[in-house]
Amino acid sequence: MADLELVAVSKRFGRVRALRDVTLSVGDGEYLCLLGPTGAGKTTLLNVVAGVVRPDSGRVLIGGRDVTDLPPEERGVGYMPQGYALFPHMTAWENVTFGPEVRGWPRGDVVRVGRQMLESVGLLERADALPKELSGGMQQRVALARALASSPNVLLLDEPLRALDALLRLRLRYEVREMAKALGMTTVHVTHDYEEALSVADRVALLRSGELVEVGTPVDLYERPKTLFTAYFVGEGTLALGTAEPDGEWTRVRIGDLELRSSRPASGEVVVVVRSRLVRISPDGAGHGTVEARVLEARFLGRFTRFRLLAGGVELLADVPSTLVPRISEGGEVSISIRPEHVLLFDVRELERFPEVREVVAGA
Amino acid sequence: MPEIRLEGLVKRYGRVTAVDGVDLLVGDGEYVGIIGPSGCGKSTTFRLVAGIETPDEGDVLFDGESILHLPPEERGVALVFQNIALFPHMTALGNAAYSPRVRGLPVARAREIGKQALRAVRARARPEDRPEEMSMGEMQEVALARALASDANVLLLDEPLSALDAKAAMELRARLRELVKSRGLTALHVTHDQEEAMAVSDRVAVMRAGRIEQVGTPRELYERPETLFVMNFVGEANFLVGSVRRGQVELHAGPSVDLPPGSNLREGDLVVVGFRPEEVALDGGPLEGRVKLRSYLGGMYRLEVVLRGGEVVRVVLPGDPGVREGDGVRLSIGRYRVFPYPREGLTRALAVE
Repeated sequence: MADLELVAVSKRFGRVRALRDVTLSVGDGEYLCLLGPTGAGKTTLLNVVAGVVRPDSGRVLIGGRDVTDLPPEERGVGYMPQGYALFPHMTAWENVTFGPEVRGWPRGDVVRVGRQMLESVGLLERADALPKELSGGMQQRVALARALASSPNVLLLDEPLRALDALLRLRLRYEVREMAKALGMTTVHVTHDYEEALSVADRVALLRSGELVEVGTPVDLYERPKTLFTAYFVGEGTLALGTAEPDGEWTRVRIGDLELRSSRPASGEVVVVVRSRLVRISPDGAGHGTVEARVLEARFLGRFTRFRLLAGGVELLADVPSTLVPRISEGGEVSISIRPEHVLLFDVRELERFPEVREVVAGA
Repeated sequence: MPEIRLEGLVKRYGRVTAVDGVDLLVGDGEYVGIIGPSGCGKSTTFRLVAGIETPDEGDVLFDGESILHLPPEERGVALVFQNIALFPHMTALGNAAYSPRVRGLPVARAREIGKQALRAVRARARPEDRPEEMSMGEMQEVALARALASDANVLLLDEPLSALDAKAAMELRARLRELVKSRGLTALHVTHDQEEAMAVSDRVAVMRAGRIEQVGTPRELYERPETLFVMNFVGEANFLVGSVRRGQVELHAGPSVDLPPGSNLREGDLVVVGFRPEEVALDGGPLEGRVKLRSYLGGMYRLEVVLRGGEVVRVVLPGDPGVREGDGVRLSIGRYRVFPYPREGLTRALAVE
């Protein structure tokens, strides 16, 4: 087992700067999710770690050893590429034992690891099946077993759940994490789905246009994001231009006629972000730090009920756990409460740094 | 704005019956989702309504009149697919203005309609952009604008958001419902993603093995699923096996729960008790277990708890439960549903692939 370190890694493809000066360390046995939109450089970063793509500059260290100049098979890395790329003419067994075979492992070791891996993904009895005879979820498990079969120190997963139906995606993500953790793997899991990243990662690294924007625990990124891009990409909510003014230990924030209190220091023009899932609703107006609002729409979405609310002329989005939703009718009045630490404020100049966010900021 | 009625639709491919007697009513101006796992027949149903396939039995009626004899282009439907089929040599505006042009409107008028449609979907692509310059999300916005620019009153969507990133899909699905509702269109939307279907639809039909298992509002499906399959497919659920004893359900995992009134289950019957993860409380209740996995979902926490008998119960809580992996916990179950133990076995009854 080993930790993974990337030091100032940069890579260009023609005029495109796929990776810019990426420095990132993943602890021994840590499960890290690399999150970002399409084209952020996530796959390129995995390819650099795997040794499939050579960086223009920077170093890759695994267990303290510089592997930048080593070929893929000498890095101790297990790689599950997007779409699995199982060998279609080979059985599950042959796919899983392919790595150990080409590395010339003794027969006994190959058989042992093949059995162990297929058993741990629950597919030993399907060892003789070809990929096309297996369901999507089974193919995903075979690909995972194959990535793990060469006893790697570092496991790289590129969108491991993408090819699956939504429901299986939800279920299997925990299995993948559990397996990596059980084997003590240092894991990098690439995804564009923030909820997937939050739910399985020890830490999440957010990548945008080849640059690391922020690295932190799931709670950090969701509840205490450091950049406007993190606040925008990791989660849903209300984004609006407002003005901030210090008020004792708090900051008073105005968006239109709506006034909120924030625990973040700021003054002047700001971008205000309120996470939809951190807004609470009650039918009566009592309580500290509450705001009156009118319900424009309430939609039951299962675990959450989504409210479109109008408060002080500002439209707010709230995703309230359905079990906490009081009896409310559309057009009715409610009180909403948002804790000051959940009223996020960002410098308006962040809109220049992250122009794609501008489109969703009310008033920008 | 027509009402769409599917009556006894059957479609066979060789020995496989893809659609096996589907009845469904989509009201005038209603937004109906069809969900189900791969191979359940939802896309075939879509193709029968669109006119891409012809049913072996049954009928498709728009406002009470059969449209089976009409080719797709004469059915007055606009189609949006997963694999975005923009005309590659045309700009965003060219694509959006295509349908009005084909209808014979003057160029200037067609372009005006196309521009309006691009604005309506809040397309991020510029009117002069070509498909190869656009992201998947931008292309799908243009495809949607093109569908809206036709004068069709019926919008048929087959996995319209599947090719998009999670973030882009969430943004577009909200706009999609808004547009359909503001224009009073009748919409039928096929997807494998139950969250997407719940977010856009007035009612959702759950399909399994060529048949509709249940149709209802998102709340009905989530809170009052009629079958184990529906409960499992629409959102996360826990299932524990038990037996009926003295008017109660004795869970094999230990405690008992009340048998719902009006149940026709009998003493000794084997049953399955289904409950949502958010209906479990960590309140020192009678179910004992150990936390195997703790995760943060964004504003909510999720635990996997292994009970003494090895069953796993998933718990979702709105606040930090303050327990760690490895901790012992005691749970109680809030609302639940009781189903007779399935004849096909629990694993099969819940299978989603």
